Amino acid sequence: MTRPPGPPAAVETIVEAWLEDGAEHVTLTARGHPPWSWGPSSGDGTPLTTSALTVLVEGDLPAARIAHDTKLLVEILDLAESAAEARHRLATVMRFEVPADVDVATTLQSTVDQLADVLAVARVTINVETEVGPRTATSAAPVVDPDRSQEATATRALPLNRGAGTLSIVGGDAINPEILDALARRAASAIDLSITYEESIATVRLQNEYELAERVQSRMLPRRSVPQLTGFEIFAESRPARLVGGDFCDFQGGTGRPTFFSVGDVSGKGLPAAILMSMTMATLTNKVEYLPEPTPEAIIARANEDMYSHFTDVGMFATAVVGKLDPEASSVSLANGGHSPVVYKASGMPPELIAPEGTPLGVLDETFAKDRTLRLATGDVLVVASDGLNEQRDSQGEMFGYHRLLATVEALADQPARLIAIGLFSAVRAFAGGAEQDDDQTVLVVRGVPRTTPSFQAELDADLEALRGLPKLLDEAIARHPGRRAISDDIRTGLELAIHEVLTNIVVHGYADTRGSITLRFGGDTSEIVIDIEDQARAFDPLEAPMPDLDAPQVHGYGMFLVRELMDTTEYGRRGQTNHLRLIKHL
Amino acid sequence: MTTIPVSGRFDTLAAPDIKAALEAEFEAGTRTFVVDLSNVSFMDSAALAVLVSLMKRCRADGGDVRLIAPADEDAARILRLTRFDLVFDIHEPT
Repeated sequence: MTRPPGPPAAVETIVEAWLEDGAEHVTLTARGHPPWSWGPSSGDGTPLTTSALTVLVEGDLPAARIAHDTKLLVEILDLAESAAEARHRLATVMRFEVPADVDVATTLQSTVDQLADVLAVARVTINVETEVGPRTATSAAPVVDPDRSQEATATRALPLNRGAGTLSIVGGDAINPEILDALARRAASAIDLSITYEESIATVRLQNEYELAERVQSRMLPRRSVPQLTGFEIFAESRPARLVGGDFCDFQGGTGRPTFFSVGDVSGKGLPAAILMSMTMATLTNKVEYLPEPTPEAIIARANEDMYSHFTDVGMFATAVVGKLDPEASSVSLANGGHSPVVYKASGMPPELIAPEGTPLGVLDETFAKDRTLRLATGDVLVVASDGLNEQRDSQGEMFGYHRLLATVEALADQPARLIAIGLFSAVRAFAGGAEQDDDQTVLVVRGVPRTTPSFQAELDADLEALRGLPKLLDEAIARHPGRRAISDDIRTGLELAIHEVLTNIVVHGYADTRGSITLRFGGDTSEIVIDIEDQARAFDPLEAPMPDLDAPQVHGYGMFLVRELMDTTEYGRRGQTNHLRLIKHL
Repeated sequence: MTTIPVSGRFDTLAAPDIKAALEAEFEAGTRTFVVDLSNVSFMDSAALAVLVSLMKRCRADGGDVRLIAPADEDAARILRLTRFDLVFDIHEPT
């Protein structure tokens, strides 16, 4: 128990002077205090009452002096009152400790809980609207009895630098408005600080994540270009919506293996999606390379088995269409694990949607994807697009949809693969109007095109001496080529050097001084010259030779570099016991 | 400084002989070569390998290899394409 506070010292001094000058007893009753008394009371005095103080004096003291001094006492007590008030206010405000948390949510909660405690009110609520979004916090347990009024008893605007906010107090005694203002200011500065922290941390985190995700992708994405296959024309492009997307498009196999494509979409964004995308692509490539009989269905099933637990761990999944291109049969077999329907247009027929039969990778321990074979002869077109195209919305929120996708493919089906893809991107962009690209957009187009018929064919002994006959042979081939008028001296020498380098490589590295022969076939039309070079040496891809570092000349490695520089397309494949190299030069 | 003329096809077949001739000069003490390619009609990557190998040995000994470019446009193009024009001091044929 603390004793009730005694009168202020100045009051004591005045009363003591009264007692010395004739007063026998004094009682002062100040508002808000228990009475203060001095000397034994005889009970016959007359109280003097003012609004703030009642004075009872017994004994022999002039009334005029009492009246005069009472005014003084009132002033002294007023001063003391306001000093006590100020001390109390300070104490109250100081009990509110500025929260040191860095995130806005924790700061708000700790602020409202503290305010409810400091102010002894039923409930404190703060609403803020900031650059990091709207936030609300309400104090936890009521600290006063529930019978109290639940009406808002006070509301203050929070003077935030970085947004707007209000502080509401429900229930409890009337609160000194100055205390409330001071508390609101303190709370606002704490909240401001937490908003600043949260924004800067969010920015740094986002930048790091994007940088990291981009690095992961650029390291792991194969730099392989679109394969060149006899009888097919292929084009692929991916346009990410944000910095790092979840779409992927890749080609596998090729050297001595069938050529595969995979188009897919990993759910989610940012670093986890980028890592999973890279893992998925690596897994698909691995399946193509190492499955004894790789089929799209088997690749999806085995990849799902490998990836299932990784996806489950992070609550993500990936859709994928895997296709195997068969140039011999002019067909593609494909399996679809939960990806958007592919568009297939047979020559002379309207385009149709082929819906996925399988579930995405990472959803179930089985995908149910099944192989389906489609003819891809001249005039047939396959379009594998991601859902970023058909789901693109315009400013009214309408989706591009499959009907527009089909109509666009129909209109463009006779165009080269590249123009079909670019046309699809353009149609979707035009439809969106000014609306932002919602999601990654990926398009792979495979068209069946005529196989070139050779206009000239020759067989050479696999012998360096035989290469000396190349200029003459080339002159003959050019003379019979449909595009001969467009073959300049520069192009001719380029062709000679490129073929010369390939033949030298086959003789020296392929046959390696064993006997054999090399077949040269020249084909193409007025727009390009196609040279097919075949040999029966050991499996050997001359294009795998390392690129020379042009700034640090070395003794080897120029041959295949020259071939690539001089030709527009170079492509290697192994069929049975035959190495096949195709060179294409545009005219 | 010794000028070595090369003519005709400077390719995989001719390269070993030309390389042997250049190396004989090198053994005889020559460290600054002018390889005159003005009458060369065709060069391949084997020719480039011979020139680079000689250039490296000469430069290691304080010498160098200069080239006179083939008069033939197509043969000269190889030197540009491989950026040999940056590596070698190349003079136009007279």
